[in-house]
Amino acid sequence: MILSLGLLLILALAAAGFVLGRARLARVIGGGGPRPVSRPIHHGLRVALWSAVPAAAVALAAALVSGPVQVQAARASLPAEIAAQAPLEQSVYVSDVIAQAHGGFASARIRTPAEQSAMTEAAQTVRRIDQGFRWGGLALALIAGFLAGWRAIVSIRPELKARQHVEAWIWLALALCSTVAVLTTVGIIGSLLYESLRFFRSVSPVEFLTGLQWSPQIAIRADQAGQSGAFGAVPLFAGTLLITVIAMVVAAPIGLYAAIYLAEYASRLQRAWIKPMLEILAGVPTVVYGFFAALTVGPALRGFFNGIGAMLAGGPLDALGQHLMQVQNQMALVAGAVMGIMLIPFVSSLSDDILNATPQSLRDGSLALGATRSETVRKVLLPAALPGIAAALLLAVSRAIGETMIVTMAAGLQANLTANPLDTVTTVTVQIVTLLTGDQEFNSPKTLAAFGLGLTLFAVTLALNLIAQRIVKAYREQYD
Amino acid sequence: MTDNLSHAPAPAVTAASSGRAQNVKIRARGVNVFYGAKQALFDVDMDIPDRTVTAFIGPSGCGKSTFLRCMNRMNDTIVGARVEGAITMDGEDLYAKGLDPVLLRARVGMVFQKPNPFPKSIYENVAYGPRIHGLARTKAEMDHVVETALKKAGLWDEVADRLSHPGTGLSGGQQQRLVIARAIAVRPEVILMDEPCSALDPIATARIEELIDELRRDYCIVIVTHSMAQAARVSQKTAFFHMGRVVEVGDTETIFTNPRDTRTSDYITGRFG
Ligand SMILES: Nc1ncnc2c1ncn2[C@@H]1O[C@H](COP(=O)(O)OP(=O)(O)O)[C@@H](O)[C@H]1O
Ligand SMILES: [Mg+2]
Repeated sequence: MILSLGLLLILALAAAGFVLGRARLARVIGGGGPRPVSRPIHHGLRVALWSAVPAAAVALAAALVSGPVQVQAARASLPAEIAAQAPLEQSVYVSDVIAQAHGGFASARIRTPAEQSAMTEAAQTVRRIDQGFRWGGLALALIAGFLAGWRAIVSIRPELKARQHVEAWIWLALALCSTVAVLTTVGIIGSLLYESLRFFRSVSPVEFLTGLQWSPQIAIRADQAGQSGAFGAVPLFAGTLLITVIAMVVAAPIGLYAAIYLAEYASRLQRAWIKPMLEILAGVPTVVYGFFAALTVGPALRGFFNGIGAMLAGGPLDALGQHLMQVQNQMALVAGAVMGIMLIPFVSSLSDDILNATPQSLRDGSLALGATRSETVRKVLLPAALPGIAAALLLAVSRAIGETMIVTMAAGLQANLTANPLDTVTTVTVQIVTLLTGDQEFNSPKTLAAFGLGLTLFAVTLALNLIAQRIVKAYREQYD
Repeated sequence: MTDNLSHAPAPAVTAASSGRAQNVKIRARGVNVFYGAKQALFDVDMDIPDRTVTAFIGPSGCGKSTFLRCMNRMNDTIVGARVEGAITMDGEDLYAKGLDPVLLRARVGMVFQKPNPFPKSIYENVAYGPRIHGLARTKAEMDHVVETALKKAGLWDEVADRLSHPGTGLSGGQQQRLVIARAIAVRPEVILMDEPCSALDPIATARIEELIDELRRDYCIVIVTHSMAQAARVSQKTAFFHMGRVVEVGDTETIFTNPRDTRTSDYITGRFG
């Protein structure tokens, strides 16, 4: 209630500032004199901003300070017997007091009557503090807005550069927004680095990057932390690589041919149908691909290979037959193939853009020499578009490496070091998920390993994206 | 096809009536071209003599490029374009059912307004056509084809020592001569040029004009140009197009000194266009 009231009042203040600013300018130049350097609307906006922004800032500050002050008050009212308990219990008591004050959910702790009356009293104090901050904050905000607006009005002169002031405010707002984006990125990278460093304090990076055995589950107990052999990530890298390769074997040719068809052969009508359909494919949530892989493709392929195995078993190819009969639902092939299908629209739409960006004059030049369309595509357009297409494929690889949902559902959990697509493998992303889901202690090497994996993943995909961007940029410049 | 000829009205001025006896290479009768519902050419008749440079002049959008593209059937590549009427080359109907436009384009080469070398080496640019059409069996033969084409295009001396460099690295004028060499390499009978100098500086333009004059000995050349002076310098025949119609065809000298139609003289003296 008070929030909307406050907003309304601040808006009203700004509106009043706008009108008064324009009026003031009219008065100032009323008797002739020099022409104002800024238009009336900018003078109005300047006053409006000078009243609304300080008011909003004061209100925001009051709201931000109010919470901690309430917690402080609740903590000060701690009964002796609770103050004697563990910090966790003290926090629970404080949050129960706050909950009671604001009508939130309290914990299920049983309180003695003495504690209960103390809590009620504390809750009342908290509520008074809250109300005080709300109304006091609003009053202060309006006063601040009024004063700042008044100053802005009084300072209006014909030679005042009001437009520049307004633009400075806008610039400030834009800069703030971009700073938020940049700071978020920096923060994420920072925490990733920090946690990874903690991990690498107990497990050496060399061991992590070259070790052949991944079994973090056995290293849960503190005395086993960092036990050698538990945190070798090579099987994960190999599994990721295997699935990525399979995915690209599916996505690269199909996506590329689809792009060539779209760009060079399809009529306008066909384009109008096929493009949206590919976009729908691109819009399917990865979790849907995941259960498609786990529930449809996996069992189907398993049945297929087991059947072939049963036919071969006992014959001259008995060993192969036995092996095929062992194939499980979770094989690299399933996750890789479905991921490849997911990447098709990605590859095709990027390649389609790139083929469309090749100049029409190249097509005309080739056709005018008596080349057929397919010769033109193969011998002129594809070579010309090759850098761009390579970049598109790199971006697809980087997505395949980072893809999580499909592999979590369709690849396995066993870290096998294998190149056999029918084997179960696990990937970096799957391991991050399994390391961090469920109840976890947040400073065991087992959980911290996730950050080590995350950092590796981040470094690889960042490098791929940078390379791809550079190639695309060089390619664009070639045809500008 | 030959039927068509006898019905067709005689063109205003034909090669035969112009005094110099020359073989007619390309003969067009009653050509109409449509882009969708829009008609771009109206009932065009023209005889284009062999081993001669014929210039097409006229204001922008009057259909010069459109008519040029009829002669190597590049209009086929434009969605919605439709050609009516009869066009023959050495008496052979270019729009006959059995004729493959892809093979026709090897016989009728084309040079575009903006130089468009492929992003390949100079050598590969010239070898592209011969390779597609199987004109050279061995590497030595191909070397010979490339060298001959580059020599004919007057580019050999400038690029002989850097055949493996990218064709796109040449200057604009060199690129345009490379593109001409590329067209020559497939041994065409006709070379169509659509404003080949409009993207070039005067010196490069002069080189290309000299080249055109030399090529005239071996090829039938049709050139679209915006420059009156260029038409006067390089061509022996000139056709003046106006609003999708051919207003006047004749010896270049006659067209420039003594045009029959007032629209022609207005255009030549710069009163419009
Ligand atoms: N690809 C095309 N699609 C539709 N209309 C076209 C196309 N090419 C040319 N035209 C139209 O045909 C007419 C003749 O064009 P064009 O032959 O290019 O003229 P010119 O070469 O004499 O400047 C113009 O009105 C032009 O707008
Ligand atoms: Mg044109």
